[in-house]
Amino acid sequence: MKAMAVGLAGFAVICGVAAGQATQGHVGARQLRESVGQMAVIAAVDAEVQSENQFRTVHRYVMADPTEEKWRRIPWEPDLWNGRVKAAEQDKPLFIWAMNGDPLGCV
Amino acid sequence: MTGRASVFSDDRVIEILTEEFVPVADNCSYTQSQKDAKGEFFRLIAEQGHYAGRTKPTATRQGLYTATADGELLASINTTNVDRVLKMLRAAIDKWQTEHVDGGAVTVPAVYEPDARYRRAFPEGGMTLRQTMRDLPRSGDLTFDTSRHNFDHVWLTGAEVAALAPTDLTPGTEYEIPPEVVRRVAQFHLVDQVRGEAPAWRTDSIRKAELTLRVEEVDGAQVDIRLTGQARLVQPPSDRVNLFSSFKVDMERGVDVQLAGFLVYDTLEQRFARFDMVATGSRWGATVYNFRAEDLGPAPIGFAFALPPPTPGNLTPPKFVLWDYFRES
Repeated sequence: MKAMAVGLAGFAVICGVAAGQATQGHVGARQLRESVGQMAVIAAVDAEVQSENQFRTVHRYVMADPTEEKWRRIPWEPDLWNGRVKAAEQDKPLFIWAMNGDPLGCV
Repeated sequence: MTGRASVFSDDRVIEILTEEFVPVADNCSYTQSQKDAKGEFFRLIAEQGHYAGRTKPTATRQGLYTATADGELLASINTTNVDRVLKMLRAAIDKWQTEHVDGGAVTVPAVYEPDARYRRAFPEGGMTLRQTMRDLPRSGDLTFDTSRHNFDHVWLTGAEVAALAPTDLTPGTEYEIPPEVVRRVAQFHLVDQVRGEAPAWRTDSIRKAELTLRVEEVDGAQVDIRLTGQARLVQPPSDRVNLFSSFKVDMERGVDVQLAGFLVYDTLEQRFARFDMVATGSRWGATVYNFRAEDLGPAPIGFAFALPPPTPGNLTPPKFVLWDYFRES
């Protein structure tokens, strides 16, 4: 029993470190997902996300990490007409990513 | 969703689109049907592109288009292959540089009368939250792939944001979130769309939806607020069947989640500086397009919400904004 408690505390410490890295270096969330974080997330959800540390662990796990959000580096314009106006003003061609669903949102 | 991870995460594509084009992301399921200037402009471009010359009309115009501001197609393609997209972009740039001799001559009116059926304007004085949804790890199978995820945006009106602000700053004071906001979050944002699209819940599917705020601490102008709540939504099957395939359209589906959040309200600036929220619990069932037929559950799912950076892209409307997303409070 004690060993399990120590183990979970260890996970919490590790996740705390990972959470800090996510804020500073934007690598923590992915590490969390790929390695040590799985058990911490399961424990936090089982505990109904009571503490702020549990909350941060779960929140970061679900949110996309920088690798998954690389496509957001493109300065997307979400409205075709506004894009057309900008293209005319800037004398640039338009690129249109057209999907059934919002490409920048739920699709 | 594949395009985000493949084509639009490629450094070469990012550079070309950023430097050489005005990049637009468009929900063409609406635009292609709009009876207004924007709809006409999109159809003008699309009908010169990769779907041009169809003898049988199809319902989709999805794809990647490059065009001039006056509607002349440069090149188009519908693929998630990076090399093919790069080839198309380079062809478009070549055509632009060799044929576009009247640069700057196009005048586009900044406003037009939009088709009222598709009006999706951000509410004045409102607030947007970026939503991310993802499967959570499974205790019985730690190898389960949780990389699939999807996004949406939550829109709140200015009046709703004001109603979320604390009026009594005494630590421990609890207050309710407006019922209309609770309904909207439950009905439209606790939908399993991790792998693909699913319809919003019906109003009568909301079996339970409660959200409470509690003032935790006040430090100068900053008020720390804790959010707690729960929601359970269950929708029985419609028993509708696709007559052409005999495919059963849906089955019972549901979510049962706990909500938690940490908010910071700035009383000087009268805005939320932090609005982090998660809903975690289980989901079950499947719909036609959400790719859950082999994963009916119950299985753990997470929905996370946060204030996004103030970029134009983050004003993308909520998926269900054309449903009864906003009602009179």
